[in-house]
Amino acid sequence: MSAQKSVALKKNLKIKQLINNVMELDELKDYWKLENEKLKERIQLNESLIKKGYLKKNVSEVDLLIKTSILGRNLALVYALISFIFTIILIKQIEFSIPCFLGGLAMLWSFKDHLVITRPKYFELPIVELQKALHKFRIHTSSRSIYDLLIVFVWFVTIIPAWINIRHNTSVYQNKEFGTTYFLSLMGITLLLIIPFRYIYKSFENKLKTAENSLNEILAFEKA
Amino acid sequence: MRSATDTDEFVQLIRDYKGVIYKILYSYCKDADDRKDLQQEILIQLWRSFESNKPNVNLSGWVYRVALNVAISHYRKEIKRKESKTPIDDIVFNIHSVNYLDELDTNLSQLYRFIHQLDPFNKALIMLYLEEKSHRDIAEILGISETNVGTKISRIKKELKDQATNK
Repeated sequence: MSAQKSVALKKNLKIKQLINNVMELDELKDYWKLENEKLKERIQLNESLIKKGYLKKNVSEVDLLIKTSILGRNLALVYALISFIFTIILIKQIEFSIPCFLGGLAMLWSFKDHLVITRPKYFELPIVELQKALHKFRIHTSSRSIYDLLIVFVWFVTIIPAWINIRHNTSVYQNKEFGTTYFLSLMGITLLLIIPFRYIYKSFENKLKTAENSLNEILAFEKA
Repeated sequence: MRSATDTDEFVQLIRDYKGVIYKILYSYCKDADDRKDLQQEILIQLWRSFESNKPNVNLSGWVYRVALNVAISHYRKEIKRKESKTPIDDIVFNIHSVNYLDELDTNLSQLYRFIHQLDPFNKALIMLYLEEKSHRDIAEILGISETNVGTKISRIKKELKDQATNK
C-alpha cells in the first residue's frame, strides 16, 4: 500500500469521526484495513523455520483420534471373524460354539455401530459443518465407550474357552487346571477393564458434556 | 515429499496472508504462549491442506476457512492445552513489540476488546466482515445462509453501538 493511500485513509477516518462520534462497525473496517497494511510491513516472517520442515513435526490431534477409532472399528471385524472361525471349528461342541458365535455377533454389532465414523474433509467443509462433524464424532465415541468395554469383555469370555479347547484339546469346564487358568484370566481382564473404568467413564462423561455443549452452541449459532 | 518449489509457494502464501493470520491469533488468544501454540496449529493445518488439496481458486477463502476453523477448535480446548502442553519456542510471525494491542489505535484496541467478548463463531464472522468479504463468501466459509450472515452482522453492529453509547 502506498504512503499516499495510507494518508488518505487516515484522513477519511478523521472526517468520519468528526461526523459521528459513536463507533460504527463499518467505520472500524477502515482501521482494520489500515492495520492490515501496517502489519504486512511490520511482521517478519521466519521463513527458514517453515523451510526447515517445522510444519511436519506434528499431526492433528482430532485426526489421530478419528484414525485410531477407524482402526479399532476395523479390528472389531477381525475379532468377529476369529469368533466365527472358532464357531465353525467347534460347531459340534455347543458349549463353546454358541458363546463364540454370540461374541462374534457382539463384535459385528460394534463394527456396524461405528460405521458412522468417517474422516471429514477437513479442508473442504465449511467451518460450522466441520465443527459439527468433529463434535458429533466426540459424542459418538464417548457415548459408546462403555458398550465397547463390555463387548471386549464378552468377547474374551467367549473366546478363551474356545481357544484353550482348540490349542490344548481340553475343556475349561471339566479340566480343573485350565478352568482355574480361565477364571484367573477373566479376573485379570476384569481388573484391567474395571480399574481404569471409573476414570475412563468420568473422563468420557466430561468429554461428552463438553462436546454436547459445543454442538448446541454451533446449532444455536446456525439458527440465531 | 514436497519439492522446494512447493515449499517456496507455501512460504509465499504465508507471506501474503501473514497479516490476516496475525490478527486471527490476536483475536482468539490473549496469552502469548497460547498464540505460539495456535500459530503452530494454523501453519500445520495450512501445510497439510496445501499438501493434500492445493487450492487453485479462492485462495483467500481457503486460508480463512482453515485458519478460522483451527482457531475455533483451539479456543475450545484452550484450558485443556494450558494444563498439558509445554510452550513452543519457535516463533514464525515476529513483530518487534512489547504488547501489540497496547500500541494500537484506541478504536482498534477497543475493537479487539469487543471481538474478545464474542463467541468463537461470531469472532470468525466479524473478522470476515472486517476483511470485506461478501455475505456470500462469509456464508460459504462458515456454512450458514447468506440471510443468516446479514442478520448476525446487524445484531453484532447493534451490540457494538450499544456498548459504545453506554461508555
